[in-house]
Amino acid sequence: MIKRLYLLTVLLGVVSFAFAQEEEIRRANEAYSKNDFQEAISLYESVLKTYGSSVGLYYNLGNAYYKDKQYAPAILNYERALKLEPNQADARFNLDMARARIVDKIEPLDTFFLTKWVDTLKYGFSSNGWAMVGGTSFLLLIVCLYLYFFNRRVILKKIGFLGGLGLVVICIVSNIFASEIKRELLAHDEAIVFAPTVTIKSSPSESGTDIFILHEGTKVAVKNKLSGWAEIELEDGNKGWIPADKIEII
Amino acid sequence: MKKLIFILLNLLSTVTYVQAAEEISFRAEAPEAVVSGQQFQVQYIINDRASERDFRAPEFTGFDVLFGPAYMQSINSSFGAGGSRSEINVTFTYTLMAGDEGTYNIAPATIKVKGKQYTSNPLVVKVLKADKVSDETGEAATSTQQVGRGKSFLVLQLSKRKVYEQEAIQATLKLYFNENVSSITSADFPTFEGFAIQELEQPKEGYKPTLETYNDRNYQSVVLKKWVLFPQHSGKLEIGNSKIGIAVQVPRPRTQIRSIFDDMFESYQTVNREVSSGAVSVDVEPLPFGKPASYMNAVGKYTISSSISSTHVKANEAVTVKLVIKGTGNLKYVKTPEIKFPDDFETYDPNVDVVSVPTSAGLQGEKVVEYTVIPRFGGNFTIPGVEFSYFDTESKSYKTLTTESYELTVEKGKDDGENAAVSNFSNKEALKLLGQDIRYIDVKPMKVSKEPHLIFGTLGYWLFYFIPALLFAVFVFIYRKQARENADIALMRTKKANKVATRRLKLAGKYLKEHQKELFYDEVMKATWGYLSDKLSIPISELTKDNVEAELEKYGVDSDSIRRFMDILNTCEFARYAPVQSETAMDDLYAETVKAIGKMESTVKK
Repeated sequence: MIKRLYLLTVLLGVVSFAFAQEEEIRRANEAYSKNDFQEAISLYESVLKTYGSSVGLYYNLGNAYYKDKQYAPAILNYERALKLEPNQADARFNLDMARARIVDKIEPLDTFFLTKWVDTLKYGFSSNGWAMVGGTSFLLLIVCLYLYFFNRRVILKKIGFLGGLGLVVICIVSNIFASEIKRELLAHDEAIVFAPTVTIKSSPSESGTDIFILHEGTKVAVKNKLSGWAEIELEDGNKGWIPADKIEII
Repeated sequence: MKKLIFILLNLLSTVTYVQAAEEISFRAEAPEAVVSGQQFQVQYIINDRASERDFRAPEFTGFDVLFGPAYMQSINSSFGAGGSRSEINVTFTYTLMAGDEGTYNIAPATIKVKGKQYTSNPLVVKVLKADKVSDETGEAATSTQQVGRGKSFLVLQLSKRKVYEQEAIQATLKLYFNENVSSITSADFPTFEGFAIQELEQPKEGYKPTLETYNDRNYQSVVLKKWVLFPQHSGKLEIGNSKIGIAVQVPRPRTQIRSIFDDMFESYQTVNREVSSGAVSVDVEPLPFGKPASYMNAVGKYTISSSISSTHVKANEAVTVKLVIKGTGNLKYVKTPEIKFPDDFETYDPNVDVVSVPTSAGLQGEKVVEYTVIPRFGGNFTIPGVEFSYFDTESKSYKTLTTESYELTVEKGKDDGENAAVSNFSNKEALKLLGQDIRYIDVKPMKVSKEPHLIFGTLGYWLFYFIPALLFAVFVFIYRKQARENADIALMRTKKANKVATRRLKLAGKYLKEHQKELFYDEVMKATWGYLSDKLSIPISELTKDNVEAELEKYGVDSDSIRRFMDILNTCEFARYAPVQSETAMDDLYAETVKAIGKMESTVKK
C-alpha cells in the first residue's frame, strides 16, 4: 500500500512538473500575444533556467527579444534554436530579419559551390534526423542485400544490387552529417557580440593595436581563450582578440 | 555786465558739472626723460572746476622750481545733435629745472573738489647727463649721417641675441635724432627671413618721442615699429637692413649776400636723407635633445586645462571636450593636441580658436580647442587625457602637462542601432526584409529538456546497426548454399552464354546488316553446326541432322531447345534455295539462334 502511494506521488510529481512547465510556457506565449514582450522574455528565460531548453523555446524567446528590439539576444536565441534543429525554417527567416537590423554587415568569404551544396543538404536535417535517415537506409540496405543474394529473378537482383550501393552511400553520408551536427552543437565555439560597440585588438590586452570594431549582434567563431580574452574569427576571415565578457557563447 | 557773464559762466559750468560728475580725473604729466640742466614742465590737470587753494603740490626733490603753479582754466563747449556738451579743464603748471643725473620720483599731488579728495598719479622722471661739447665734434667727424650739428640714425634693437628655436624675440626699430626731423618720407622695413613674425600694435596715440641716452649722448628717440619674432630654424639668422627716408630741417648756410631779413630770422631748408640700421644677426640654438613624444612645438610657458560638456549622455547626443592652452610664447604655432576618442565615436575636426596679444615675451593669450564627438552606441567609455609638452625657456627644459581623463557613460538611445542599420543597408534583399515582420512564435506544446537529446553516438544507436547486421549475417550463413547457387546459375551463366552466342554469330550479324542473304544463311548454319560440335565434343564431319537430336538429348538439353535447334537448321537449309526471303525473317532467325545458344549455354550439364 505504501509502495503504491509512493508510486502515485512520484507519478503525480512528474505530471505536475510537466504541467507546471506547460503552464509557464502558455503564460509566456500569452504575454507575447498581448505584446508584453518583457514579461514574455522573463517567463521564457525562467522556463529555460528551471526546466531546460527546446527548439521552440529558443525560437519563441528570440522572437520576444526581437519584438523588444534587443537584437543581439534575439540572434543568440535563434542561433541556439538552429543549432538544435538546423532546418527550422521560421527561426532561419527570423534570424535573417534580426541580422538585417544590426550594424555590422559581414560578407562571408566566398566558398566553393560544392561546399555550399553540401552545407545546404547537411543542414536540411537535425543530427537526430540524419541519424534516423542513416538507420533507415541501413535497414533498407539489408533488404537489398537479401534481394540480391536470395532471389532468382534478375530484375530483383539488379534492384537489390544498385539499391544497396546507393543506400551504402546514403548511410555513410547521413552518419557523417549526424556526427558533425552533433559535434557543432556541443562544441560551443561560436558566439554573439553583446557589447554595443567593442574594439577588436591584435593581442589579448588593452594595449594591443586596434584592428577593427564590432557592434552587438555580430556572430563570431571563438578560436581560443586566454585570461579573459577570446580570439575570434569573423565570417569574412578577419581575426582578433575581444574581451571575453563582451560576447555570449551560442 | 560783468555779473551777467559770471552768471552765464556759472550756468555753463553747472551744466558741465552735471554731465561730467561721474568721471573726475586728476592726472599728472611730465616728460619721461630730461637732460640735466634742462627746463621742463610738470602739469596737473583736472577736468572739473577747482580752485588754487585746494591744490596741494608735492615736493619736487632733485629739481629746482623755477615757476609755478600757474593756474589755467579752459572751457570747451560743443553743441551737437545729442544736446550741448561742455568740457572744463583746470591745469596747474610747474616749470622745473633738472639737476643732477639720475631717476627721480615725484609724489602724487592732491586736490579737493566739492569736498572730495583726488590724488594724481605719481611721476618718474629720468635725468640724463648733459652732452659734452667736445664729444659732439669728435663723433661728428666719424658719423656719415651728420649734417651740421644734428644727427639721425636708425637702430634695430633685439631683446635677445641668443635664443632657442621658436623662442620669442622682441625687435624694436627706433629712430634716434637730435636734429629737427620734420617727417618720415619712406620706410623700408627689414625682411625677417627664417622667422615667423607678429607685429606689435602701435599705441593709439602713436609713439611719443622721448629723450634717451645712446652712446653717452642724448637723443630724441621714437619707436617706429615693434615685432615679435619666432626663429623657425636653428643657426645664425640674419635680419636684413631697414631703411627709412627722413626730411630734416637744417639751417640754411649763410650766403655771401646777407640781407636784413636773413639776419633777423634764421632760415631753414629741408634736406631729405636716408638712414639705415644695418643687418643684425641672431644665434638660434636648436632645441635640446630628448623631445617628449607629446611635444607640441610649443616654446614658452604654458598651462593646459580641459573640460567636458557632460559625462552622462544618451547615444547620438553630442559631447564637447574643451582644451584650453594658456600661456606666453609661440602660441600661434603650437600644434593642436589630439584626443584619442574611442574608435566608434563619430568625431569631427576640432574647432580651434587662438586669442593672443603680442607682447615682448611672445604671444600671450589662449588657444581653445573644442572637440565635438557623437557616441553612436551605448556603453562606458574612457576619454583619455591629453599630454602636452612644451619647452620652458626659463628653465631651459621640456615640461609635460597632462589633462584629466573622463569616464563617459553613454546610455542606449531609443532608436539605437536602428538608424545605423537603415543607413547601412547595402543590398535590396535586406531592404525587403526590413518591411516585413518576423514569423509568429511556436505555440505547439513543446518538450523541454535540460540536455539536448541526441541519438547519434549512443549505445542504442550503434546496436541499431549492429543487431540487424548480425541477424542478416547469421541468415546468410545458414542459407549460404542457396545464395551461392543463386549467384552462380542465374546471373553468371546467362551472361556467359550470351557472350558465346554473340561471338559465334559475329560474322552472321555482319552479313545481316549488309543484306547478303545467301552468305547470311550459310554462316548461321555453319555457326550452329560449329557450336553444337564444340559443345557436344563431336567432330562436324560426324554430325548429321539425324544423330544431333539424340546427342543433344543425351547431353541433357530439354526438348524445347532441341526443337529450336532443329528448326534453325531446317530454316537455313530451306532458305538457301528459296528465292525470296524477307528481311524480317532473317532478323527473326538471328534472334532465335542467339536465344537458342544462350539457353543451351545456361543449361547445366547432367
